[in-house]
Amino acid sequence: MPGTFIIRPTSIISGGVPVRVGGVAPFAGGWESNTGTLQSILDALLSDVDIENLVGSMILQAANATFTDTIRLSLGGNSIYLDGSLAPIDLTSLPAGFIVTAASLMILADFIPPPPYPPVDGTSTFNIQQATGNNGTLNADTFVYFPILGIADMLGNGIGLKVDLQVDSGGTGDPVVGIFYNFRIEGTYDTLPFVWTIDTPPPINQGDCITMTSDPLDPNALIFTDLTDFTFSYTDNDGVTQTGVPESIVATTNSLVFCLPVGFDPTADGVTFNAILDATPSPIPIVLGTLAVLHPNTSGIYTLTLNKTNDTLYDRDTDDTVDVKIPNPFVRTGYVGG
Amino acid sequence: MSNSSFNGELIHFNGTRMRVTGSGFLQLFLRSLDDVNNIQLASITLQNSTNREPFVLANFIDQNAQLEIKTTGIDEVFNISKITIYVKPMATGYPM
Repeated sequence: MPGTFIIRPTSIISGGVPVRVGGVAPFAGGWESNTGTLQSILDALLSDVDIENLVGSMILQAANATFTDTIRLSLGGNSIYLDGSLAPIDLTSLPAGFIVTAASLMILADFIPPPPYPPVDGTSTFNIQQATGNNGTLNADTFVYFPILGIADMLGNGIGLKVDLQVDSGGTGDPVVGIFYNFRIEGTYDTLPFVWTIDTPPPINQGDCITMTSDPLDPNALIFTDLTDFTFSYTDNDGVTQTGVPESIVATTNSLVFCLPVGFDPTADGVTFNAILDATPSPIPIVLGTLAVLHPNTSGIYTLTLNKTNDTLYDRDTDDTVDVKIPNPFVRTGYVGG
Repeated sequence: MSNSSFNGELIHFNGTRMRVTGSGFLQLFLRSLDDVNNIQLASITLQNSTNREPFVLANFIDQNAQLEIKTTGIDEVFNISKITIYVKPMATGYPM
């Protein structure tokens, strides 16, 4: 079922300084978010209306001065708005089979003074970024994702706004100002008609192996051998989307088994599994599904204890301890034969 | 690789018997070299004390195989003191 989505930033990773909130007095250069009610830079960039009191802006008022900065924004957590909904969801809440069919990074940008542009006393330029260093066309308010990325990759890359302000020698007044708002990714999505099931019941642990199958008698059965580039993604405790590669991947026509590594630290949102479907005319990134995690955000120190039959982990969220299974203890005989 | 009297023959692995105690479900697998072929045998329900050495049937043919024994649930433990694997050569080798 096709639909539309918007992804909005959820936090600032870096940049955005110096910043002035409110006030009208000139300052040498930096970011300013509104002149009235207190609003953060993030609020200004999230706003979808250009009202004077809710803008992300730069003001520069000194001759021969420059101000350059890049604001990097995270898309982790509840950042995805499906089909015009006002309630954002996170990566793990997407419907299975979710694929991005088109996406563009967009921003609304105004310049002060209004045309002529560029300002007579200086220059004001910007780029929007799909990933660190991946700049869109100078001063373009739209940057198409091409080739189309999977939703996990787009979220993991984050987005950025790079500005470069310069005042010419002898410049006066308020020559260089840019106003930015409504920074988002807009796109369309679809859900694949393919059918498959995740046989491994949640919750899962690090190191667990996941099994997926499809019914060979179903004409819409997903063919797992058509999948490549398996990844898993999760939101870490900083709200940033992280991506990893599963281990021991065994794909047959109607079954898929892979194992999660140990040593990553997902939140309670769970872990989402992604892959690339080898399709015509072009490969399609798809979401294979999401499973809840048994004990997120845990840590442990190994102590050998006689007759102890489980592992004990320290839960950093609650300061409690939790007992979990020892990961599938086994023995193997030597080979019989020759 | 074991030092056995076999030399490339195809062997029929037809069962295993073991002295095992513990709690939970013991899962058994026969795996060929590099795990190219494998089968899962019937599980054994573990008891902390038992007078029986359970026999588990198998039907697996390969030049080599190893028996993997494991548990997958929390607090499942096993204690094995003897394993017997029953085999019989059935062919001198793969066709040339």
